[in-house]
Amino acid sequence: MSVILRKTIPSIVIGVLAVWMIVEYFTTVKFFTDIGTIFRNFAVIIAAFAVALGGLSSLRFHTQTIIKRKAGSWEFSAVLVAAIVVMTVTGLMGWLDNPIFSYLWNQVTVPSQQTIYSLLMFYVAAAAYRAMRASNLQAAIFMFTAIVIMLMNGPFTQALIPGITDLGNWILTVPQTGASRAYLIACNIGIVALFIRVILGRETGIIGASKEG
Amino acid sequence: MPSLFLLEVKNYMALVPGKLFQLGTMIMFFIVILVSLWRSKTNLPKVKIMPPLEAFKEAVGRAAELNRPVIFTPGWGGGNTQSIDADLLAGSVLLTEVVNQTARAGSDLHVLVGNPNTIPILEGAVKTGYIMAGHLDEYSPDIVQFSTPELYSYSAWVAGEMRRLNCGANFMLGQHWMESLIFAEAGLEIGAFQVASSAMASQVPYFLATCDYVFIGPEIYAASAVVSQDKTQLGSLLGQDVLTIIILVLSIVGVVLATAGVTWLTNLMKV
Repeated sequence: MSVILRKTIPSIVIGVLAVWMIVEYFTTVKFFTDIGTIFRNFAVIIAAFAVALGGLSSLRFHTQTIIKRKAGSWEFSAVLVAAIVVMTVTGLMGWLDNPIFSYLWNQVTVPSQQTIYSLLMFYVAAAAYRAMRASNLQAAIFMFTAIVIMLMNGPFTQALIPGITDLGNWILTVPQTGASRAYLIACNIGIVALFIRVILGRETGIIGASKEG
Repeated sequence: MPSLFLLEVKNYMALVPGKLFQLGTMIMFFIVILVSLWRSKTNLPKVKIMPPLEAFKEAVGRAAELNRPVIFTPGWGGGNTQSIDADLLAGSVLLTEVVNQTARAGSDLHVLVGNPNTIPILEGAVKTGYIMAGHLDEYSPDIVQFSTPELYSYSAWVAGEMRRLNCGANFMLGQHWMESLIFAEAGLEIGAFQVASSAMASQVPYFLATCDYVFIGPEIYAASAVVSQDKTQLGSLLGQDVLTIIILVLSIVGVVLATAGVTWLTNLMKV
């Protein structure tokens, strides 16, 4: 594939679309807003195809794993392929009105997802335990603020420690908010610089092309 | 169509109310970055290599020594399958470097994806990485694997794959939400060398508590420029610093004026 097809044309398309969407954001000209809507509709359609292609790609990969009887993983692939087939077929036959789809969704998918989410509680506790080591001054300040916020949110601690709520609220509204905003501004400047490079066609990594490639 | 366009311009050409300050700020951003890009042709800024970027080689080398595979996750990306965020773009650029190092070290690589829109970008990045390393024959489309756009299912799959594959290095570069801690804890349990990035303030503490190296905030956007060593990209980093100083000065002036009861700057930002 030539450099023009692989690199130049995608860069031009990305740049033109980006500039168009910026202009559409700032102006009320119907010509720009109408075509901007068309672009967004394209994005929805392309995204739908992307999900379908991703599903097919996953199906192909796991079918091959089953055929090759890859040790330690083909059993999981078999369950995955069976789940994809059953959920697709029953989903097309009535979605949640289909009793099989509805049963599998409510009794398998939803509890499984809730289980994964619940695991976070243990992980957060473990991470907080590791983080609470006053190895230097910054870590000690971090640990102190964490303890204050924990005490502020405790069930009885607000009554037991006078002023803990005020101190906790001050930490949240003054230093925490200030630092968060500084962080957010720095990130957004980085994003703007990245997208200017994209619009100018200098960030070719996003289209899978490099100086070498 | 052109006549319709001209009519529209004549009748309705107007800014959306309340966006004048935003437009001015954006034009200023563009000018500063463009000037810094132009200056970079003659004066290239000196850029410090970030420790997480230097750790790529160490992470991949350690995985190769232990004969364990390398896993890369770009994150769920907020579940917005209709767009790709800046973090995911920056992560995909860094993936090229991870692939380059992995291919040179001769390790297996698995890129586990939860946002189907990113698959073509990541496949392109993987292929480019193999070309850079001179190992295109080792490229396979199966390296980039997609499971589901559902957050919890994606989290369970990646954590399971990490344990099943017993990965030696775990790169989490992109946009990770709640799955950040699930991935990082899974990697920590199996003793993987972990490098992560997050532009989301809420996820940074989790990565700092569990990973060996972390790109904090905007470092991820600068890292792609450092990896490429492209003069123009490096020049834009200077523009970022100039913009940061301008906003810092504007913030201080705003605080002083607001404290003194002068509100014209606040009102200007509301226009």
